[in-house]
Amino acid sequence: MNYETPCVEAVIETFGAMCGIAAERQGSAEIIPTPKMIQTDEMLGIIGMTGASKGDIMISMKMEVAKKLVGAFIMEEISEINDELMDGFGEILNIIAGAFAAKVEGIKFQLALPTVMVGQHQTHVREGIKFVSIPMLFPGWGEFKAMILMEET
Amino acid sequence: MRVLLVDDSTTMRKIQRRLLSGLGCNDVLEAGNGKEAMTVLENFDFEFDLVLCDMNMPEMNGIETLTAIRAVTKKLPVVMCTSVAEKSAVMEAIRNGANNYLVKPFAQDVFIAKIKPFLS
Repeated sequence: MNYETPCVEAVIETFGAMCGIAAERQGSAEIIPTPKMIQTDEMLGIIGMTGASKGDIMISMKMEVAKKLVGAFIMEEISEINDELMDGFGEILNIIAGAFAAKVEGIKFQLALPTVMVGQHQTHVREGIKFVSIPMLFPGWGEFKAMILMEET
Repeated sequence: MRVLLVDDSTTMRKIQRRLLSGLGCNDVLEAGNGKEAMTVLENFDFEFDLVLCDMNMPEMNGIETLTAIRAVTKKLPVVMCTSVAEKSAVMEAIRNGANNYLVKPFAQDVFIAKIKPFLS
């Protein structure tokens, strides 16, 4: 199953439509062998999906990039870490996951509620998970990562 | 014109409130889930021009909220707001009395096109 293309399309469409921001892919997706302990950026959003396949989408970026992104989403400058930043980031992730799920053919996903975390994270990805990390970029703002973690069937 | 926004995301409610303001609608109330929405609606005797209701919410989701509203009134316009993954659920909502639906991600002009007819 190809999850990479739907994920990239969902990210680009969501940031374009909801935030007015052009995001682009920065290179090839990396399939990371699991189990694996990964280091993510200061802002991390995770949303679970269940259905015929189960997994998560994660988006990780530097805090300053996240503030600009959510600021563009709500059309207000965000200068500090607050509830609006966290809620806005989660909502963006929710929209991305919805768009992703609609693009994956043959699987009907149910979405969980998103979780957003701030700080330096180390996340353990267990064995049996297909872990795809896609480097992406907001030109002029900075890099971010879109990650897909799906149970291998 | 009085509108009720039902969404667990305060950010999404804020965005929608701003877009409604651009349409000249400033009498906007908010609820974070279906239970809160029903309380607000009952407090105003269901005297609203539109309910804009998210699908994926804790406590009481969009379909449950729509069902609860339709058990009281068939006249109140309800537009369901959803991510595309729930589109089949939205079609079910339409069959159960939703007046229209709005799919996220949406551009501003799409929001306006879907909502404006209920405010004129």
